[in-house]
Amino acid sequence: MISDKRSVNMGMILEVSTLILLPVFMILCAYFEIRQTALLTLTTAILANVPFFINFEKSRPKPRHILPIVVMSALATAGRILFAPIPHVKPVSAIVIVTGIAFGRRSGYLTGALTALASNMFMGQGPWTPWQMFAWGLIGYLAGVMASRNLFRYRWVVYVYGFVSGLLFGLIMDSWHIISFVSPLTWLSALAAYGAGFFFNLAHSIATVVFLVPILSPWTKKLTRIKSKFGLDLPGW
Amino acid sequence: MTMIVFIGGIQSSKATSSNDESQDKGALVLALKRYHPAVVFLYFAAMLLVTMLVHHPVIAGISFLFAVLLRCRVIGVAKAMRSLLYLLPMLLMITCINALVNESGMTALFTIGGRSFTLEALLYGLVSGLTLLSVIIWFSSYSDLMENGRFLAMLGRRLPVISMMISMIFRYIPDTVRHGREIEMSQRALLGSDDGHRKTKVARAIRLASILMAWSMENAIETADSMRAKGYQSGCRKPYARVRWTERDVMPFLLTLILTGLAVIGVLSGGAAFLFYPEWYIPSRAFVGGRLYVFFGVFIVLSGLPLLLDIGEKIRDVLSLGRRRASREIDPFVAAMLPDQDLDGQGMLFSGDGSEKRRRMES
Repeated sequence: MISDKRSVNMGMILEVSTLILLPVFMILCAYFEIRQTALLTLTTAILANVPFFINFEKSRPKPRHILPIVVMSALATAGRILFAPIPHVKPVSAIVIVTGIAFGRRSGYLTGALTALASNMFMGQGPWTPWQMFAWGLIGYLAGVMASRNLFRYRWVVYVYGFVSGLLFGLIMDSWHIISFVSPLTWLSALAAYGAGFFFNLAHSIATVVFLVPILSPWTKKLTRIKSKFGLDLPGW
Repeated sequence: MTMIVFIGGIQSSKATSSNDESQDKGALVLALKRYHPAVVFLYFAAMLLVTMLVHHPVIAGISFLFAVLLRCRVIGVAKAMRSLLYLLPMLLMITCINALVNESGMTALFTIGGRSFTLEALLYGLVSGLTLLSVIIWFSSYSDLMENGRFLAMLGRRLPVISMMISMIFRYIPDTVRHGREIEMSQRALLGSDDGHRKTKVARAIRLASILMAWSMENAIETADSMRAKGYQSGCRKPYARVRWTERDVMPFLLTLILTGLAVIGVLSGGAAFLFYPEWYIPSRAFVGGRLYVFFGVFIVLSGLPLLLDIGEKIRDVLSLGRRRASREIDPFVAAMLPDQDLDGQGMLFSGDGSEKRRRMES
């Protein structure tokens, strides 16, 4: 029992440190204006996703724990393809948030990351893939953490989180671009680049809330029911 | 098979047309595509590494040029140009933003309201933009040559669960779409066709999505149980992909390694140094004269490797014309289960057309 708990804690420490290290690393890159940041940041973003995947593989998940994540990712991917004609309007964040709330932070992370990877096989892979995986994974992870801390008692908190998550997604994606490809980096140049993307990110935020409003309570209720009906509770997830 | 058909459907123009073309003219299949996935992966990883490692106008230009050439070879000139047309505004934007917000540099082009716009900032932005574009184009060629099936086969060794999950996501998307249609039809039968109001339409869409989610979830649980019943995780099952390393893979693999090694050594020793600010100049540690040309030569050969290999294969084809080409060792049964695009290579793989493959499978 004890070793079990310890390994869960170790996994948790690893996850949290990865989630924090990537932004810190990016800020350091920006601050010191390190050269060849494009390569460095791409490598770090790929590495940032590894602990979650390895942890998941190591936990030897049962099919019953794998399949809900697969289904939610498939729904999110299908949704992203369905809404592909309208740029920056995609239901992915909303679905990832609901998954994080219902199935916990790690499921949220995996759903977000796998949706990014799988949907980019349709929409086009690129150096942005690991960043999108990280960004959507983080959105799902934080949703799971906040739900487990009971912060989502009121629905409007989730809507606010959904709105912020869209901006967070934009912040991560824009920062990647700015740190990798803008030099020399000044407040002015960074601000101009963020400003160029602001309205797109706003559109994403609003779309996320618009998708969250109708699905949040019915989907959470259904998923919780399915979870208790089939006994899908994973300890530590 | 549904999954394969559906993937083909979504990537419609890309997958089906390339398939059609290659059935018409088998010669269109790129040599690189017939090598072991590890070779393809190594090559593109190396290309991305070298492209992003250097910030040099000539290198960026070479990388961009060959990325575009390879793209033309992979998807055809017309399509490659069309995709380039979408990318060019991006290049323009990156160049302009850098020039507008960046006041470093000595050579002022023009001054507006006390702010000067410099040639150096413009050049820097252009090189950044070219690098980004090259990376994107290399990536898209990579995803055309390394189809999802091959990617998953490579991933399957290290991350078996994750790669299985990705292939299951693909398998679930067509199911989801089909279920969605079924739900829509039964809803219409129950409630009658909608009255055309926006409100009812939205309400029905929400309802549909909700039903769809619950249905998929319950189905998935059934799948999970049947997976367990069939011995998933019993320890005697392993991911399987029959891609074999053959002597043909050795040469491109070694070439990529050696050329990349040379290029990286050249870069790390400062040979490709190029300073943009305050005035662009080449520092003394950089290569000059003959060594510089050798360095550029290495880079050109590396960038053009897929095309060179392609030409080499063609020459070999012409020389061995009439002789039956040794078939590549892929089990025809496995080959038939690989994603659609993989079948492009069939004409070459089995030195015959699709019908021969089918006959083989039936026998």
